Amino acid sequence: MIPVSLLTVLHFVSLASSLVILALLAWQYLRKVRLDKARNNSREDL
Amino acid sequence: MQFADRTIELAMLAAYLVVLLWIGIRAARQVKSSGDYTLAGRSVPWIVVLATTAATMIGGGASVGMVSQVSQIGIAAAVITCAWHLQLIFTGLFVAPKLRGLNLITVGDYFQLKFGPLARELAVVNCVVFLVGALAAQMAAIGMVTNTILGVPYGAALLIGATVTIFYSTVGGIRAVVSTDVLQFVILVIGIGAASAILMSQHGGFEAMRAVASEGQFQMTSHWSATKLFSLFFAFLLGETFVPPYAVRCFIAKDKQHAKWGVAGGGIFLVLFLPIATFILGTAARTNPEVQSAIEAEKQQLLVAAVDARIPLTEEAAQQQAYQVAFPTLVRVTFHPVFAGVMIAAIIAAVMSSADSCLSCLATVVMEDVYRRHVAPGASDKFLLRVAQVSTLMLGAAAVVGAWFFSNVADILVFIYDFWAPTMVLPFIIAVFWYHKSRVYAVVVSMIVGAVAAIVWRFGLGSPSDVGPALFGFAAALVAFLVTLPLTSRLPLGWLFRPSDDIFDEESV
Repeated sequence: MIPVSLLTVLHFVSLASSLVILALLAWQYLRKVRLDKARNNSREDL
Repeated sequence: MQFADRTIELAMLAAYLVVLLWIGIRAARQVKSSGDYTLAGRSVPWIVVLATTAATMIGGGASVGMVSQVSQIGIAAAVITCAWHLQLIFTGLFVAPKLRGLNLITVGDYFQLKFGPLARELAVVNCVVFLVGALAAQMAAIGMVTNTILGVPYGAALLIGATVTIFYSTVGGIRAVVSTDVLQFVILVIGIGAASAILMSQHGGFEAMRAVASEGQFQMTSHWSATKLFSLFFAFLLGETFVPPYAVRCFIAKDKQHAKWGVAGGGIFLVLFLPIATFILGTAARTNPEVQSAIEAEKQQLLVAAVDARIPLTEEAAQQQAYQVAFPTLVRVTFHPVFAGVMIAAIIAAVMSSADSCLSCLATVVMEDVYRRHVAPGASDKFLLRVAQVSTLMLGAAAVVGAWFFSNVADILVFIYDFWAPTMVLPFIIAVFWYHKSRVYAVVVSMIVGAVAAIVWRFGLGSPSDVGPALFGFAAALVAFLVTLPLTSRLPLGWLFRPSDDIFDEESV
């Protein structure tokens, strides 16, 4: 039998890890958008 | 299910399919060379590699299938899936940096580099068998899952889902595959995470959940013996180790470090996130009366359909099949119909994303291992890009035809997993951890013996003593390697066995 307290901790870790990964993906997406924008602007300047 | 809810779910699925088509068209604009098409220009950052690796892992089996298994078997079903994720951590930490550092295109390239041309051809045959089988199975799964969840006829669901998958894979290549994977990953992680949190709060914690569920739900050996658990864990561990869809995730990363932490990170995230979440979902499905009545209704429907079609179907088999509705029904009773519709579309897209990965890998194998190597070694990059696109289209269409006539997904998957581990896993382990040119003959012999042993064990002897062909074939390959090694280690390497270390440069990245 797996202890209930262990399952509770694992569930908390599961939710926390999903939030961290989603935040990292959002940060990566925003970074890409910013880079694309900067690239387009420099192309227009040329 | 109410008519309005079903309409919302169908509308969400239609919208989701349109988004996938749009992603494909957008990705096509970035494809300028065969390297862009098959390897995304080797420019994918680790967090995106993580998302696409995890999305490839979360197919129909790890979502709908796993919730259904946990409902029936209990926590043991969730725990053994850790084997899938552990092999990803192992691959990421130890194999991915080596594969990425060599600037390879296919698994066949790696085998030629380490063990010579004959090993390459054996590896290519294995990759083709694995990918063709997996592609046909995933195409069939698109039809089956859509039919079970939304009631769309199998043929129509197969045609619509496959057309969208083939379209975005053909026009956008691996870039489209990765982008659709990320979208599907985000929706599934939000959906599965939110569902597990909401259901846990509704039940009032694990203690209260255990009081409602049967005692066996929380016990490891309530349904399966320790021996069975061990052999299933081993089969899960070996069955998907180093398979082409994960090898490609190593090749597309920006550099060695991005490959390492992308693939290993996918495994670490999945082992932390998925088993406990699917355990909560599966246990909640077991205790929820609405889910149980949906399973009973599905079972009765399956039994009536089997009688009408004169197909033999036992009550137990119908019950097992009917449990596939557990996850979608749980989503429907937990969320608002609109978000439930998005989740259900993402579940169907999860199956599509497993199919698109296989399709993309198969087209790369045809372009690199077959066309460029055997048909036109001097072909221009533009022509190779065209070959990859046409291969994606033709192979996708062929897989639909296969899935139309042969829809038994489980049988196809068991068949391909039985032959992957005996032939490919041991050479990979030796290449990465214990490589020396004097071991080339022994490795090639082990590949042949592993394949023959698995075939004889499965078809000749009918897999006696509950030992699977994968386990038997792997053991036979290991014995063959150990026996052949002292006999062949001093033999000179003929051209069929000579490693091609002059054509690749490990430090060229």
